[in-house]
Amino acid sequence: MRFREVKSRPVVDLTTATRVGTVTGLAVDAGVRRVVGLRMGRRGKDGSLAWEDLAAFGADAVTFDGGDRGPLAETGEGWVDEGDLLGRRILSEQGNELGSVVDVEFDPATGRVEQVVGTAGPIPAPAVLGVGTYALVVDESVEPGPPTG
Amino acid sequence: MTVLQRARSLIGLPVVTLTGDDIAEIKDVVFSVAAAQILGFTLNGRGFLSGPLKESLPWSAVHGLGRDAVMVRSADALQAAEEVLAGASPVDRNVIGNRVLTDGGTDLGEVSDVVLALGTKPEIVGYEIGGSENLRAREGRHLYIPLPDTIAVSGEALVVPAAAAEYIRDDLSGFGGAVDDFRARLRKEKP
Repeated sequence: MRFREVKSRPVVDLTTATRVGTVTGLAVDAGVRRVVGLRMGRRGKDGSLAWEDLAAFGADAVTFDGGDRGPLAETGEGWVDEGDLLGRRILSEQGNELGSVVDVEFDPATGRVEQVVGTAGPIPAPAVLGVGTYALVVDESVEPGPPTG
Repeated sequence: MTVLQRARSLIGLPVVTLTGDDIAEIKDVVFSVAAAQILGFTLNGRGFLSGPLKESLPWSAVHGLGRDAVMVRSADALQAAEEVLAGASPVDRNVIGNRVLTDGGTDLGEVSDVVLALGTKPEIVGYEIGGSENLRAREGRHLYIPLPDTIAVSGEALVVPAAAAEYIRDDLSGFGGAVDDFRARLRKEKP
């Protein structure tokens, strides 16, 4: 599943069976290893949900168990928002530019990032060394693995 | 194929950590003539209003040199400038502007830049030279001479073996081949 596919997907609270918002963006950890949460509303103003709080990331909706939670918490310590990832310059470990980030592919069952899609082609997740203020840095010696089913 | 780059074209490149943060930019390249190597770089801060940084980047802390950035493992790579520059006297440091003579006494011009082979183990492979009556480059081009393994320094002149002059090229892409040929010849001539 890709980040760009997930935009505008409804977020549904299972306990009340109501839609509480729409996904406007996902967030990952600084190492770009896994999806850590999602944002709702413009610039996340309708709240955020951490990955652990989600019940399922479905093709038509994202669900969570509201239980007796109060208003959705403002989570997000150490999160890298997709706004800081999509369009970000890609730099090789040797110091050469390799294009920019177009999309991110992740496993909706586990939240694991599988690959970063760049303008010059896909980059397997193990090749990503990190993302910072200037660029996403990539180890070019890591080969793509066999395609996942 | 090794990519070659002139050291002074590194000026202005960002210094980036492996986690993607730009922590400085290259202000100037510091050379040691006697050791025929780069000692390191002086730095400016990032941003239009940033001036020179107190820290410098020693050559040993460079993780990789590319066309678009100088990579370091972390911000710890930057060190106090005096320590980085301590390896050479002021005269030693100034390879730019030195005259180059062959050991046969032919003047080959002045050093205007240093040519590096890029990658994770960057190294100096030659000099850019110019301004000699004896050599003429095609319109708008510079001349490049491969670095022999020993350079004698005589006053402000660098003395190179006459054989090196046979491998002078005026295009950077062809110069890579000339460097390889020159080194192969040096290896053959070793006792």
